[in-house]
Formats: sequence, C-alpha cells, structure tokens
Amino acid sequence: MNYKICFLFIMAYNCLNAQNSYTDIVKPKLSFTYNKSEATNPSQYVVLKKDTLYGTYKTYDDLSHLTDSLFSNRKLLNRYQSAVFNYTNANSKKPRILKQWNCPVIIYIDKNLPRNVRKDFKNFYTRFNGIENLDIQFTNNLENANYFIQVVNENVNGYNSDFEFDSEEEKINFLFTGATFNLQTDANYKLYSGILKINIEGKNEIQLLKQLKQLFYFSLGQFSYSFIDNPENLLSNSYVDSDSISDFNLYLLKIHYKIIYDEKINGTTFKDLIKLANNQRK
Amino acid sequence: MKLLKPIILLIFLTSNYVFSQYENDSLVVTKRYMKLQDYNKRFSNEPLTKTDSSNFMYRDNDTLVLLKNSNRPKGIIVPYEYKDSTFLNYYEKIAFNHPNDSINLKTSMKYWKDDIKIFFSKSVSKKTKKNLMKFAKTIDKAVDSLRISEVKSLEDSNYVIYYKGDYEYESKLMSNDNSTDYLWWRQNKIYRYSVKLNTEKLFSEHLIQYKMREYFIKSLGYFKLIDDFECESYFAKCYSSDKKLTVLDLEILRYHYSYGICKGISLEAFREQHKNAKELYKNTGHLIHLIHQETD
Repeated sequence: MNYKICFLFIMAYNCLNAQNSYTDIVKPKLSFTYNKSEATNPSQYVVLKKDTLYGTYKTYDDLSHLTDSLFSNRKLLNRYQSAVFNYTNANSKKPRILKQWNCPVIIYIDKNLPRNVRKDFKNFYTRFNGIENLDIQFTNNLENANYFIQVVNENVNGYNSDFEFDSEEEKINFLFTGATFNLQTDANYKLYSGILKINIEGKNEIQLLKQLKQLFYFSLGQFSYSFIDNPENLLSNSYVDSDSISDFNLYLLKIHYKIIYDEKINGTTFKDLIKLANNQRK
Repeated sequence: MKLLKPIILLIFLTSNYVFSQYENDSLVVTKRYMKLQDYNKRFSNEPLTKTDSSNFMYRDNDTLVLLKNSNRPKGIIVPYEYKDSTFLNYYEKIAFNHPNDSINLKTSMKYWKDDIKIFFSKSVSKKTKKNLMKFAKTIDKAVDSLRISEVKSLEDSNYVIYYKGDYEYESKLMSNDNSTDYLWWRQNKIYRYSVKLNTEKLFSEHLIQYKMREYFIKSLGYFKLIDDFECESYFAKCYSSDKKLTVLDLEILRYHYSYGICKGISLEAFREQHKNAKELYKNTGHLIHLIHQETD
C-alpha cells in the first residue's frame, strides 16, 4: 500500500514539474507592439496616454534542431558538454554558463602581425562560414570591429605568475605564454566583443599562426582547455597545426551555435532542453 | 530643474467629498477636505475651531476636515498617475534596485533632484560626446522634469565621464581597472555621478557608446537592467548592436520623473499608494491628487 502511495506521489510530482515547452526552461524575451493582432500575449498590456502596447514573446516552439543527428551522437555530445560546462551543472559551486556570440564576430588584425600569418589565419577561419548563427568576418578598420587581434610589446600571459611548469620548454610552448584574450559578455553571457593580445617576439610564423588559431577558437565560446592528447583538437595542449579543421572542432561549433539562447544556459538547462526536444520528437 | 516636493497628505478633490456648484459653464467651485489625522500633523499650530467641527464630513470611517483657503498648501496640484499592473510590474523591477536578488519592501527609488550637468574629460572625443549628448537630449525632450546638458567646467558639473588613465575624478573608482561607475545620493536624491571607462577593451566608437549609454540609462535613477525585455530595449540587460529607446523605455523614464507619483519612496509605500488610488478610483471614480511644493 505504501509503495503505491509513494508511486502515485512521484507520478503526480513529475506531472506537476513536467517541462513541456522551451519557455518552461528558458524564459522568453518580451517586446511590445501597438498592434493587438500581432501580440502573442495581449493580456500583457500597457496603457499610454494615447495608445496601448501589447506584449509579444519571442518563442521557439520548434526544437527540432536540437534533435539533429549531432545531438544524438552521445560521445560527441559528452565531449561538447565537457568543453562548455566542464562537468558542472546548476547545483555546482561554480556552474559554468554557456557563452555565445549573438552578433557577427568582426575581426581586425593588427598590421604588425606578419602578412603570411594574417593571410593564413583569415583563410582558416573563412572556411567556418556555413555554421548556423555564427558569422565570422574580417575588416581593415578597427572602428568596424568587435574582435581585435593586437600585437603588444609587454609580457602577456594567460595564467597567473604562480602557475608552475615542469620545464622551460613546456612554458615556452604553452598556448597561453605570451598571449591572452579577454571577452566582454552581457548579463546573459552573450559575447559582444573581444581582444586577443599577443607578443610576437621570439616566435616564428608557424608558432604564431598555431597560437592565434587556437586562442581565437577558444574565444568562440570560452571553451575549456583540454590536456587530453589530441593533435587534431584546437582545444588540446597537443594540437598540431593543420590547414583543415577537425570534424570534432567543426561539430562542436555546430552544436554550440544551433540556437542563440535568450537566457543563461548551464549544464542542467542544456540537458533539459535536449530531453524536451527528444520528447517532442516522439 | 526645480523640484516640486509632493505632499501626500491626502487631498480628496471633487467627488462626494466636494460640493460643486456650477455658476456657469466655466466656473467650478470646489471644497477640499483632508483626513483629520493628516490635518493635525500638518497644521499642528492651528487648532480646530467650532466652525471646523461643524463642517466635518465622515467618509469610510475617516473624519474629514474642510480646508480653508488660508491653510490650503500652496503648490501645483497633480492627479496621481495610475498605471496598469503590467507596467508597474516592470517599473518596480527597474526602479527599485534591491541590493541582492530578493525583493525588499524597504528599498527606495532614487532620482535626480537637480538638472544633470555632464562634464567630459579631455580624452573623450568630440564624436563620442556628440553621440552621447544626442542620446541624452532625446531623453531630455521626452521626460518633462529631467533636464540634461553638457558643461565645460568640472565645477559646474554633477556628472563626470572619463577614461582609464585620465585624472581620477572619483576617488571611489581609483582602484578599478575595468569600466565602472559611482553614484552618490542623499535621502534617495541623486546628486553626483562618475563613470570611468576602460577604452583598451572598448576599442571602437560603437563599443564605447554601448557601454556609455548603458551606464547613462542606469544612472538616471539607480536603475536595474532586467532580463524580461528583448535586447533592443535599453532596460534589457543583454547586448544588442541595435539598441533603441523603445516606447516603453521612454514611458518608464517619463513615469519615474512624473509629478503624478511620489519620488524617493520605498517599494512598500509605492505599492500602498497605488492600492489606495486604485481603490478610491474604483469606489468613487475619483483620483487622489498630489500637491507639489517647490523646495531648494
């Protein structure tokens, strides 16, 4: 008898807490329109002196893009989640939040960077076009840019002074030695500008290109650095420069930019969305 | 900006509390009454007379005293500005900036008592100044009792915009390397503001304007940006490359500086006043009025 009551209680609890739509998980954004017939929520109205405004929510009723074959590849999805959320969820002490650009990334490259490096870097990232919701462009005018690759003379490192290396060689070859990047985010963790500082002293063109490619890739979502040996992965410490991008690095961006989320997304909300999308498909 | 101090002592106008006598089409004779307890507070040095007592009116368990012309407070009488619940919901979220995320009824709204006089440091370019002032003037024009202008001298200003590396105009911001600001207020009246921008990170005019305007909007009332609106709204806390002063943005600013509400009050008092105004209007069809007096 007790088991039955318990079972009924759990069922009732699950029903009450069921997340049936995108807006149960991600709070939609509200705008207002004068036209009542265009409003999705006319009960949300604001009376002005001469007019009335009616509420309109932007909603994603169709979550089918989250059921793309990329999302059903469990291994790939796990790797993606570890790169973005670093094994954290809503209950973690410091939950990692998904970071995305919600505007085109317009890059200005400092003219002090060797010409070949600039050219090869552009060629590499121009191939990224075609990823939904991610637009990478280049400009010759800093005023039009929101991502600045800047050559600096000072000693810049992407780690603290107490960071320890096993050898001097390891330090010299470390991705964040002599270069760092800083991204500006809004309160929803959407990226809108960035600056990558690099000291080119003592580095040849091959080293510079590799470092820039990797750091810029990190800037596309502030992904986690991987210490797992993988010469094809731009996020790995063992990355070996290549003219082409690996499938994993491409798929990771495709998953990452499938939707530009309106709200902060942590590991738990991401899983909830995938679950909901799969339930809707059934 | 001349500030009009609102007297909330309840002044009921017209309605059953007022006898109106039409002498011709254009003349209306009104009588004003005040709650006895409010009268005693306000006119403590004028004890009630026999005539006053004979003119008492009783309404909803309140004793009302007929006001003489001599003890009628001087100032501008403005009807209380009633707003719908949708508007108030968002207005409260923006104007009552709670120190943490939980709602505290004691939190008060803040507002500029005087005109805003902006001083730009020398390193702020003409273009940047012009762009910001254009934005500020749009607000100045749309909001009746908020005047914003640029001044050339620091001494004449109460609002300073400067860059990292410039002279530190605000000691409270000295130790900060990132873009940051500081607002001073006394009794919920804002009287000084400084913002320091880090232009190393804001390397284009677009990025400077975005950040400057975000600080500017917040500084107009110690406002909190919210996550409810589409990103194009200046009160939305998300980025858009196409920010606009939406109709609702301007309405929020206009309402914040409207004479039809009491300024600098707590959330609790704000809600209470709205509730009273709504009930009165519902029961009698008449509005509460506020009397604003000029103060220094």
